[in-house]
Formats: sequence, structure tokens, C-alpha cells
Amino acid sequence: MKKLLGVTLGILTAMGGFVDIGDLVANSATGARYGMSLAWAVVLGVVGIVVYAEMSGRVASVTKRATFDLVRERLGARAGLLNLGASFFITMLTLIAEVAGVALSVQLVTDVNYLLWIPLAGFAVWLVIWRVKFETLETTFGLLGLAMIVVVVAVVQLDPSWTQLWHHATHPSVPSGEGHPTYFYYAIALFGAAMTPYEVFFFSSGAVEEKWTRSDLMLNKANVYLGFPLGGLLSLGLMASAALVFHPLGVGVENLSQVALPTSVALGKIGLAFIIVGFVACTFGAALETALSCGYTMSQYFGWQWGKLVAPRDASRFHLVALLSVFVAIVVGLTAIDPIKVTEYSIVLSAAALPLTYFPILVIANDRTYMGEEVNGPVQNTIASIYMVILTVVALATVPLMIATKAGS
Amino acid sequence: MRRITIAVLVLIMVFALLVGLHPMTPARTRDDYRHKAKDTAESVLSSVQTARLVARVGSRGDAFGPYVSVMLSESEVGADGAQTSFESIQPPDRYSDLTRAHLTELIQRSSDVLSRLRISARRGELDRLEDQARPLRHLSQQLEAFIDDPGPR
Repeated sequence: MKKLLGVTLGILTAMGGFVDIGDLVANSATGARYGMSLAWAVVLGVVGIVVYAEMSGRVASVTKRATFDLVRERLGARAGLLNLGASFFITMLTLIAEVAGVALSVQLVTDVNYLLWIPLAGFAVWLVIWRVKFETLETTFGLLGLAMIVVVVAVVQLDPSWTQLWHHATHPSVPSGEGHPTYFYYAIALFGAAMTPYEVFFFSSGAVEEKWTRSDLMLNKANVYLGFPLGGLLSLGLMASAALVFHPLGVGVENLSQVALPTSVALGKIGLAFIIVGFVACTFGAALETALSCGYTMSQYFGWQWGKLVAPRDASRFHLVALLSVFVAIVVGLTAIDPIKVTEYSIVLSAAALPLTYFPILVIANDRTYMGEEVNGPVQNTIASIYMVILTVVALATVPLMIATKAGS
Repeated sequence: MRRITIAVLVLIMVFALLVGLHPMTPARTRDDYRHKAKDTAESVLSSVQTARLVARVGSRGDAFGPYVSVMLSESEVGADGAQTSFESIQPPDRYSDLTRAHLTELIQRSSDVLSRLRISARRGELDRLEDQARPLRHLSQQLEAFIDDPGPR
């Protein structure tokens, strides 16, 4: 019974923690602009993150070492450094967006400019990292993130034609007046939002923090195979709500506040309260994950002592990197740089760096020296290899599409 | 390898910055100008339609005051930003002058209503919003007509 409870909690946490500011913005913006015709990109991204997160969780459970620790050892210092540089840059961008996202969410209930909330949001992120246990922070924000289920309720309340919604999702087409490059640019944004690299760093480091062993492989599978797709359902809910309310009116999503409007239209103040709680939980939880991921990746690459389970004085460099990352996020956020633009760049550039993150995981998951009997099977390898091709194509296409479409404008 | 890493990172940042600045390039032809005018009208229409929705949920008690206030401020900022960018483009000929005049007038009228809505929301007069937003219906129709056929009327 206790184990079942643990598995359920893990699934719910994975589901609630799936959505971050990138998912909020990308799904809502594409729903408003393209209706449901880009739903396939969300599904593609969710399957991809499921495949690779399962692999990284399995690697961490079997080897008891996290991704970057093994990347450097298996691929060498130089390839590892390239990986670290790109991953750290993307994770830093995401952290900036998440801290600003927390501030923007608080602004929605206070009407006090978000710039004033950024230092407080950053301080709160650091304080939680410093003081709160890993398991507590992961579970608390994951469960609070479940408030985002309200978007699915809102879609039901909006009483759409389900047949039409399904038809749009399963028969994707580029709307008239829209170019193919812009359509694919947004597809890449959705794909990047679903497969953000920090999710894998955090997931695998978390497995080590929680001392997963081979006996936890079932928990790993349950979290990934059930929790992540359910999280993907929230992403599709965001897309559908924007498609139903904004798309017919020609509204483009430029601000985080707009993401909540369809829920307010459908469910009134109660729905609005839930979705704002969901915003805070998702962005705060993701800010914690990205700040920790900055510390994880750097420490694992350089072989420093790391982790929340280690006393801060023994993992001082890990905590210093996390603290400095939060500080940089606050400073950049305070320049009044558009947080939504930062979000868009973080998810699109994530897409450009995806092979760097996921290729080493595939290599290690196939290495019997590390994995023993838990090495990838033929089915996993086939799916993972197909995804590696997709990731490479996406990575090559991202920057040219970004330039050609003026970042989707 | 290190040089390649640095070069790749610098390239990514330069591209991101270049694209991120969204430079409004000059319009050299009438068609180009019409295209930019259409984009501007779409942006303003988005702000106007958002404000109409917000005014509705605000008046009906379906949203909190601070949320309504933030949304209306952002709509106003969005419309003003679109206007500023558009007005900075040099119209290439007389026909474009007329296009500019027509669209600027539409945006100005929209901005006035959006400003009034924002002021009311900040004063907590949410029940008045739906009435005050009524002119936006006609303005949104005019903006839609402009988007379908950008040019002077």
C-alpha cells in the first residue's frame, strides 16, 4: 500500500511538474495562432521526453550516477565541455524565464509591476534550494502544479465540438496566410518546450539524490510512462483553450496573463484562482529545477561534490553555482528584457541543442559496462534512434528557421 | 574543439540578439508598406479583442480586479507599441501616406478606448468596463476590414 502510494505520488508529481513557462507560452501561443493543427508537435515531444527520461532515470538507478558525471567519463572532457557549455547556456536562459515567470504570475494577483517581484522571487528560489529538502520541494511544487488541471476543465466547460477539435488535431494543415517556415518554427518551439534538456538533468540527478536503485526501476517507468503523458495532456489543454477562445478572434498570445484568460472566460474567478496558483507552482518549481540543474551539470562535469543531500559546506561549489545562477537570472530579469521573448528563445535554442543532451544518454544506455542487464532493448533503441534523427534534423533547422521567420513574427 | 564550442555559442547568441531585436526594416515599395500595415493592424486587433474579452469577464465578476487591470494595461501597451513601430516606417509614396493616415486613426481610436478601460479598471470600476468597451466592437470590425484589404478608405 505504501509503495502504491509512493508510485501515485510520483506520477502526480511528474504530471504537475511537467508544465513550465515554456509550455505555458508555447502551447497557448500556437493554439491561438494555429488552432489544434500543431498538436502533433506536442505529442512528438512528449513521446521523446518519455523515451529519453526513462533512459536517463534507468541509467541513474543502475549506475547511481547522474547524466553529466557519465557524459564526461564516456565521451571525454572536450565533448563533455561542448555539451556542458550548450546545456548550461540553455538552462540559464530557462532559469531567467522561470524567475520572471514567477514574478509575472504574482503580478496578476497584486497589480504590482513584475520587476519589483523579480528579486523577491529569486530570493525565494534560493531560500528554498538552501533550506528545503529535495523530496519536499519536488513533491510540493509538483502537486501544486496539478492546479493546472483546471485548463482541461475549462476546455470541457467551453463546450467545444470535440469532433472538430479532434479533426484539427489529426489533420494538421497550415492555415491560409501563414507560411510553412513559421508553422515549422512553432512546431520546433513546442517540441523544444516538451523536451527541455534541464528536465533530464533534474530527473536523473533527482534519482541519484533519492538514492534510486534497480528496485526503483518500476517507479521510474510509472513516473515517466504515466506522469509525463498526463503532463502533456495539460499542454494540449492549454493549446485547446487558446484555440477555442483566441483563434476565432485573431488574438495573439504575447503575455503570460493571456494564457489564463480562456480559463477565466470558462470558469470565472474560481478557475482564474486555480490557474494562477498553477502558474506560480509551475514557474517556481521549474525555477528550482533549473537553478539546481545549473549546479548539477557544472558540479557533475567538474567532479565536485554535489546534491541537496550533502551538507552545504561539503558541496559549497554546487550551492555557489546555483546561487550565482539565480543571481544572474535576477539581474538579467531586472533589465526589463521581455520575459516572454526570453522564454521563446530558451525553448527554441533548447531544440537546437537537443542532440548534445540526448545523444550521450543513448550511448550510455547502450553500454553494458555501465548498464549490465538493464541495457537498452531493440525496441527502445529503434525508437530512440528514430528520435535521434528527428533531434538532429530539428537542431539543424532551428537557427535558419529562426532567421527566416524573424523568430516566428 | 574549444574554439568550435565558443564559436557555436557566440553564433547562437548573435543570431538570437539579431532576431530578438526585431528590427523594423524600411518599406521600399507600396506592397511592402501594405504588408507592414497589415501586420500592425493584426497586432492592434489582438490587443483590442483581448481587451473586449477582459472587459466582459471583468464586468461580469468572472475575474479579479488586479488581473483585469494588468490585462488591460498590457493591451494598451501592445497597441501603443504597434503604433510607435508603424509610425516610424517611412511611407514610400502618396498612396502609402493615405494608408498610414487611415491605420493611425484606427489605432489612435483603439488606444483611447483602451486607456479609458485601463483607468476604470485601476479605479476598481469593473462593472463599467463592458459598456466602455462597446466602441471596440466596431473598431475590431474596421481593423478586420483593413487586414483583409490594407489601404486607405
